[in-house]
Parts: sequence; C-alpha cells; structure tokens
Amino acid sequence: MLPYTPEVLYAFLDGYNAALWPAQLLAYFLALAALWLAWRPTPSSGRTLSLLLAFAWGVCGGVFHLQHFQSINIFSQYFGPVFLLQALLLLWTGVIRGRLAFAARESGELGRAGVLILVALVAVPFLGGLAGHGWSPGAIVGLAPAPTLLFTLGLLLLCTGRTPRHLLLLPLVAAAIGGAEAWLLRLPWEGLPPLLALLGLAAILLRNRRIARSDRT
Amino acid sequence: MQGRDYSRRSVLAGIGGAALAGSFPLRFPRAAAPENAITRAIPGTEERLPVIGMGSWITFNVGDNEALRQDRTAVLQSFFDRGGAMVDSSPMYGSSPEVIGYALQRIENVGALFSASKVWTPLQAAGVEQMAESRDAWGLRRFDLMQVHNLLNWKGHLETLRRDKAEGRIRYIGITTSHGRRHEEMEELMRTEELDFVQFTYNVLDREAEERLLPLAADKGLAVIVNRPFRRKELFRLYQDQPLPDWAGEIDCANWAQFFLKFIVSHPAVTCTIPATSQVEHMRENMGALTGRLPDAAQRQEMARYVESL
Repeated sequence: MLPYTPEVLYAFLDGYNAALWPAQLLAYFLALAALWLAWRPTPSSGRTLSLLLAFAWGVCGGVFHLQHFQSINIFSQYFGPVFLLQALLLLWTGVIRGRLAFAARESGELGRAGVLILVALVAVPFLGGLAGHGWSPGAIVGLAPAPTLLFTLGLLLLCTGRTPRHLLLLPLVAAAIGGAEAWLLRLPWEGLPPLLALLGLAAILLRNRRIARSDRT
Repeated sequence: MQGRDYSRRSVLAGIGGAALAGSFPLRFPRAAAPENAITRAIPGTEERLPVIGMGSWITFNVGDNEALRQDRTAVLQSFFDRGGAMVDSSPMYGSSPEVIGYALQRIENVGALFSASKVWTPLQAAGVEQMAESRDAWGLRRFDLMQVHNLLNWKGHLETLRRDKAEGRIRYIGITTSHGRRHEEMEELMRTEELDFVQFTYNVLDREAEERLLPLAADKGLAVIVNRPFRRKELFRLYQDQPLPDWAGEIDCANWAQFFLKFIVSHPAVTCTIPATSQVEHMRENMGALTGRLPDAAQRQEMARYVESL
C-alpha cells in the first residue's frame, strides 16, 4: 500500500513541473542533444553523453525523490539513493573510464531503441491524461524517473560493443519500483514504462550475448 | 479533552495577535458536539472522547497542492462541526501532519481537538526530534496522545514518552499495531508496560481482537483506538452493492459506513475508532455513527453473521 493516491500523484507532478519550470525546456534540449551525439558520434561524444545521462539520473535521485517526492512518499528516501548510485556508475563507467561509446546509425537495435526513446519523450508525459487526470505534462525526461529510465535504456541499446552489465542492475530496480507503483495505484497505463524497460533490458542482454558470441567466433 | 495550547505559529496565523502570541497559552472553547453524541471515558479519567475519530493515512497526504489542502481542510472542518475530536496521524504518513496543521490553522472550531500522533523511527534519540517536528507540523505545543508506531523500538520510545508525560509535553502514551500483526507482542506489552492507550485493527470481518486484546484492555483499564475500521475501503468494495439488513434502522444505521462503525464502537472495550476519508460526504456518513442507538451484544452477533452471509 502506497501512502498516496493517483490524484495526489498527478497533482504532485503538476506542482513539481511548476516548481522546476523552465527546466523542462532545457531537459528536452539536452535530450535532443544526446540523440544528436548518438547519431553523429565524435571521439568525445561517449563521455559527453554519459555525463548527460548521469546528470539526468542525479536529478531524478536528488531533486525528484529526495527533494520533492519524499514529501508524499516515505519510500523516496530509499529510492533517491538508487538513482544517485546509477548516476555515479554512469560517471565512473562512461566519463572517467570512457567505456561507453554510441553509434546509432550502425546499431542493429535502432528500431527498439527508437521505440523506447520515443515513448520516453512523447508518451510518458501524457500517461496521466490516459488515466483521466488531465493532459498537462507529467513525468519529463531528465527530471522524473520513468522517462529517464526508458531514455537511458534506449541509448544503452545503441552502445558500440557490449553494454556493461553493472549499468543494468539499478535500471532493473527502477523498473520494479515503477511497476510496483502502477500496480498498487491500479494505474495500468503507468505500467507501460516499467514493462518497456524490462523489454529494453532483455534486448540489451540479448544483444550483449550476440556480441559475445560473434567475438568468440 | 481540554482546550489546546497553540504554538506561536498557529496563533499568529489564526488571529494575527502578535502581542498575545508566546505570552500565555490560548485556550479555545470546545466546539459543541451533538447533545446525543456517543462518547466513552478514557479509563481512569473523567475525560470523554467521541467514539468516532479521524485517521489520516493516505487521505491527508496531499503534499503542497493548495486545492487538495483546501479540500482536506473542509473535511476536517466537517469532522469538528459534527462533534469529532480525536485526529490521528504519524510521521510515516508523508505530508499528512503538515496538511493537518495547515487545516487546523484555517478552521475555527478546533477546540475539541484531541491530537494523537506517533513516533516511528528505530532510534530513540531521533524520536525526540521527530516528535518535535510533529508538534511543529501540527502547530501544537503538545500532543494529547503520543504512540509508538507499530511497536518500533518500543522500549526506547516508551522511556522518552514517560519522561515527556511527566514533563507535560504529552498527556497520554500508547502503542499501536495494524493489519492484525504482532498481536502477541502487543498483548505482552499491555500486560507489562504502563500505558494509557492501545491501537490495533478491529472490524466486522477482522475480529481476532475480540478474543484477547479487547478483554485485556478492559481488564487493564486501557483506552482502545481501533484502526482500519473499513479494512482500507475493502469492506465497501465487498458490500456496497449489497442491501443493508432490514433491521439496520433499529440501530440507526442509514448506510454501510455507519453499520461498520457502529459494530466497532458498540464493543464495550472500544474507546473510539479512526476512519479516514478525503471527502466531506463520506465524513458526514461516518459521523452519523456518532449518534443514535448502538447494537447490543445479540445485535452485534447478528451484524457479523449478516455480513458473512453476503
């Protein structure tokens, strides 16, 4: 049982977006910049893109969960550190060690990644409307967990080489958190992001396996 | 129940009387409860509580949203208008304590308030700070009742609560559990610890407390607060489409809410129950159980049989 209702959740998102405005514009700009970097990679784009993803997870952990959502959800004090830890892992792996590189045009996963990214950018903000709580934008990529999770998994599908497995554990936890929320609040549409996240994680693992096999041969 | 001592913040917000604030405690007159309101004495005292209180789990956790806060203010206003007194919350309930404080500042007839909160942290030292934060959130100088939530670190917190009671920061102390869990541990504490209140789950379907906890509370002279009177709405989901029994009028029950609540408060060991709601209309229905006839022992058995037969 969660300590809030769907009505309160969507009212919270309205208030959260109002408090952060116009950060949403910057978030979408950075998201599009990240896609451009994945589409037209440069030698430093892997690090830049990793930094952007780490920043987004940091915002979700520090600003969304610990600073705002915790006011209505006592469990945010535990969820916030999950997102912050993922931010640190992205920083360590992609920025400091430089082990993440992206090449969208050469990826065989462009279709699947495109679906995850499109849903994150276009559909997730309006899931509240589908649930009958008004069409004002709700969860925004880079500022709220669900679209950030899908956007990240979409980009990780476009990695060159195998996606480091340690970057997949906390997204799985985040998907479980989102799924539990959708289930407990009886909001089937809000179950879409966690479901797609699970499919994205499965696609990444299968892709990793294919690459490992081809490396052996 | 006595008049409440309001903090500086709420006094300023309530009357704008900066000169008065902090000089001496204000005492609001008690709101006029219905003349025929059913009340129960807190054992060992002459203080009486209306048998219908108000819980705040989920319902008052609305964050900063102004419109929702005003809605909940109307709910609390309706509660006091109809003779309510006990309001129960917990630091575990998110923004509920702040929203209750917001509402208390904006309604006039809060003189009947019997404030009940909880301490919920594994650390005894953190509990002191948490209770101070709760007082700030409600805008109170003291709580009438402070309870150890779900028996978490009960040993440490009871030590603090006894000291607070001796020093006048609280008037009564208690322990809580819910969902029908940890009844054995609660029973042990009821036998061995010096308590004023106990809070646990009891309703027309969950009647385990009838066997041991309720008789023990009566025997030990403990006030009993009953939580989850509707099993978190489940009783309505199960029965709202079913007809009330023909004889519901004999115990002045006009709807299922009153039927469920009167079953609980008619148990002689129960002091009050704390249904939660976010709607004024539901508050009206709940508070309807504060007046009229209560079922006797035979009728209580019939109520349980009827519900089980549906």
